[in-house]
Amino acid sequence: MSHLNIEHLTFSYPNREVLQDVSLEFRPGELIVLLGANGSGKTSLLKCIAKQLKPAQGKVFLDSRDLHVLDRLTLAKHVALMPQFEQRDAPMLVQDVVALGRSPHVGWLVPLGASDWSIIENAMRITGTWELRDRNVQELSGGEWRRMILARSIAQDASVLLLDEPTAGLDLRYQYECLERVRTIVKDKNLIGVVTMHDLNQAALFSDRIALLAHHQVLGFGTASEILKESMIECAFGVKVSVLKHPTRDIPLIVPIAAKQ
Amino acid sequence: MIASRMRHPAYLLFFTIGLLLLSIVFGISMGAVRIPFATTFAWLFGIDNGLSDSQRAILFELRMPRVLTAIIVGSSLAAAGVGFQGLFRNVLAEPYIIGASSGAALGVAIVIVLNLNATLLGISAPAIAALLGSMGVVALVFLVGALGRGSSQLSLLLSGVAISALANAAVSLLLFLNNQKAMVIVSWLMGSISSATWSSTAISGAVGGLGVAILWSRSRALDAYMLGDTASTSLGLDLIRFRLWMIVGGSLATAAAVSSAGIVGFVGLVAPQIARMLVGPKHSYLIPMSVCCGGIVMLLADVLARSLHDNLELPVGVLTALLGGPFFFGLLITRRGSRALS
Repeated sequence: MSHLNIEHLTFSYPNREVLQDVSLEFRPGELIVLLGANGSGKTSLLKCIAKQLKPAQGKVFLDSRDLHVLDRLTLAKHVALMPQFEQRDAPMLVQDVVALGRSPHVGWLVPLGASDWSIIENAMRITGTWELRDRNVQELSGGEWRRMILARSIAQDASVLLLDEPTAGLDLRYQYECLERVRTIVKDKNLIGVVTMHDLNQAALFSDRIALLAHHQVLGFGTASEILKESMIECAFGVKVSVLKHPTRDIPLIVPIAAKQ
Repeated sequence: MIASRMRHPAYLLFFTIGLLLLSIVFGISMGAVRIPFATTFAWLFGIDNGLSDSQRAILFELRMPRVLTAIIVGSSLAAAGVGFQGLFRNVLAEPYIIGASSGAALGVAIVIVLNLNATLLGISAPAIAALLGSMGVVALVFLVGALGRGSSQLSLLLSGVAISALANAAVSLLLFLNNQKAMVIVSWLMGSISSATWSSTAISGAVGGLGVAILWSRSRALDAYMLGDTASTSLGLDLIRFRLWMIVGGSLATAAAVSSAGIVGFVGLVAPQIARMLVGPKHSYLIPMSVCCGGIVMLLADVLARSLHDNLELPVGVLTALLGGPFFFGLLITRRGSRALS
């Protein structure tokens, strides 16, 4: 199975450095959580992997394949990106938006086949959007909309699933349900899942490994207990925390104390 | 399961195609020489119930090409409208507003002034000039719009308006400097499909058909494109190639329309809007539906243009603008909020 290698990736906007010489290796069947303060480059890293942004230096390999030399359609077969924001101008039906996830596999001309529709239905059932299939996307709540985009990314059937804050705006139950489902899919299909989020305790609960970004670099990359330490969190987020032990699981439990003066 | 739900727009589409065919019969039976609807209908199916030779000639040589040309013009403009509305992600875009029509008109005016009579593969110089003109303008609009702040829909639309104004000014300048050809250009710009012949119909049909086919073949890509640049590229859409196809397809369709009927405004706006209300935003239905609606609208406008006054034909472009202008206002006012312009 394929490994995702990010090698010496450097990216900056014209007047702001974002990522400097970032190297990471993700294994199949692994759910990675990217943590970091606002502007620490989580989204930029995802977008660099998905060729949405062009890194100044560095490469991204899926096994021995350089992802950035692939054409869009081939790349989309391997990498699915769920963006944080999307235009919602067209009053399309939920099922039609999810069905677009099959485009990398069937192209833009050929109609979808029965097997595509069963993949679409499955993706919608997993995300709890099957009941919404005939709804207009403009009528969806923020949370429903996110689940629909998640369904589309799952229907894309790629080996790398990049999710940019999939739980933002979801109620507590859907946050946990969403992350549980993502984790199940990653494990069942042996995918590489990379998820950005802000909740440290959720990150501890659902991640196999955490990559903590700060000051344009990877501050740490490892399991939750290796990364979520008081000093590291203080350095990355500028917040004093106490790290306790999770009552039922062998993971850390983070309790914020105060913003660092 | 899901497939069965799609029948609804498909039925509507078939119904509209039927309506289009009926309006063809209506269109060719109307005119200075009235030929009964039933007789025309029978004649179309090869049953000749007592038509005189002159009537037959009127039906076949005059009205058929004219009616078909009207449909081709309306259909092409409607398809180009949907294409540009998609490309600019704005329901107010259409060949006329975006400047494609003005670009085509400028191309034709230049060719008339220069007295070019060359043909390429049976396509006349004005038609080719129309194509190049509209392609040039749309590409320019896109480039100028994209040079500014990203490619926000508003800046694209505004650059379309600006470039359209430039092209119109250039046409006016050409008119002013070439007095003796002014009438040729003006009558051409006003648009008339009364001079349509079978050969002109065939050529505009081929060019317009090609444009419509290109646009229709991009239906699913257009659906994806509506979700924004990030989403559509992550679904595998190559934006540069896609936009190029849309410009080529939309310009072919515009050129087919402009080179056979002059500048006809608002059909490209009205027809897609009606189609959107009928079948929704999915382009695989929206494009053929717009094509049908555009054909019907244009055909009816032409019938109206030639029957409002007994011995005077109104320019069809004037008529569509007269009817389409208020429609456009209505659209601007009733559109929820100002999303269409942001």
